[in-house]
Amino acid sequence: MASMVAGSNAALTAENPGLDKVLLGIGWDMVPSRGPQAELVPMVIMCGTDGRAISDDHLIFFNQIASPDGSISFAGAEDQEQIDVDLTRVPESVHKIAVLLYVDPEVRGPGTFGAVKNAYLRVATDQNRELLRFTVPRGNLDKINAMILGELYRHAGGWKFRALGQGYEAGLAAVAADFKLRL
Amino acid sequence: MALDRTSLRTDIGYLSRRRKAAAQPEPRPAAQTTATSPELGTSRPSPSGLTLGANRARSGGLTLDGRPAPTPSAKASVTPGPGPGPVPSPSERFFPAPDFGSVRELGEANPVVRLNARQSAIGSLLVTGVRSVAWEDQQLTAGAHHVDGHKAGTAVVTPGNRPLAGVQDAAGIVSLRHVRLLRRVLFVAGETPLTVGVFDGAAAAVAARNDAGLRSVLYVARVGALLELRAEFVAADASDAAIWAIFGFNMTIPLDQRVLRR
Repeated sequence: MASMVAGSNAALTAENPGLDKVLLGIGWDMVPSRGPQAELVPMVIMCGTDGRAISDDHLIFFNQIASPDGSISFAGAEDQEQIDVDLTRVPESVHKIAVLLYVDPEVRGPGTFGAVKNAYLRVATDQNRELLRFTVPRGNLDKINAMILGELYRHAGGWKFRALGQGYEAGLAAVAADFKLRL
Repeated sequence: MALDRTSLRTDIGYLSRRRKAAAQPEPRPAAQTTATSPELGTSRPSPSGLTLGANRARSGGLTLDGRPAPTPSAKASVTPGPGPGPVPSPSERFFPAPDFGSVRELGEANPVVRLNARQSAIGSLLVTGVRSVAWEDQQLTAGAHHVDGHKAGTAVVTPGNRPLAGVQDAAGIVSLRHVRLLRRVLFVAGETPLTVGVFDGAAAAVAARNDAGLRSVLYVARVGALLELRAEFVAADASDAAIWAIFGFNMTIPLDQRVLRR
């Protein structure tokens, strides 16, 4: 298992021959509160070569739990969220698979990542053998309300993974604008 | 043909996630897999269902004759089956209804709109102009909240420590992050039009009264992953309790916290 830092990348399929399915595990801890809490939501966006979402249906989250082609599906279990990715079934038009967390934009005090600790994204085999792990560095996240944790992307006929930890202060609306999603 | 209960049925909206298989060790080399196949052929697990025939081994369900049940092969046990195929879009699976945002005013001419999966699950469903809100969750827990502060039934609190549905600042609100907990909601109009909106900016209005002077009620139902909004009309002088009865809402008795925390 390799621990990654923001900006680093790993040759996922080149270093793991035969790897055709991966499990993405996302988790975090929250500072306990008796009042309304920020509610984090994992999300995956399938993007074309231009970095934009292929379509609104290529956003996968808890209420749209599989991609139209069936290559990505939310499984759920040990981490807060687990996502199955069948790399062999990902359409050729998909160049990048971005993995995000956003704070639900609830009108009754949505909150931020300020109360979030130990957020991580890990990449494992479909048998849950961990290959890579990226833990979001602890810093001042009080203004952050969405974050790209990392991305899978095509490279030289295979797939690589890049750890990012890129935060947004304008939340899901900014994510939607970046990825050209109608949210 | 045996049902594959491990694959994801993405064509059925109300089934959510695949049943995750128990953690298995990494696949062993082919030689080992081959060596284990005789064991599979001779092991006699207890049948997990009713067996009426002579064959009592390896049966996972009902068998009505004496023919042996199919024997699982070692190869089949380590080779995943085909994954889920292309998923029909919701518009292909449900009866036709206008998209939320395409109809500006709901009424007798256009009573129904349907939210898409993103609209149904991001942020809040906000409704202004309400007199009261009544909700019913998946467990049939029901409650209501009047803008004057009166409450009835049982509040449903989400893991984010917010009410699943309720009234705040004279507006009715549903927490869409937890839309899967929801069964249905009633927004009873007050004296001004109901206006309803979601995170993406889509919105619609419902007049407080129809042409016949009946009071408007916005009925919200969850169908799988999607919310449907329907404008309904009741007698103008109908009380909240009468409206709950019309729509089959039965307020549940809240349990005293002292009882729950012993």
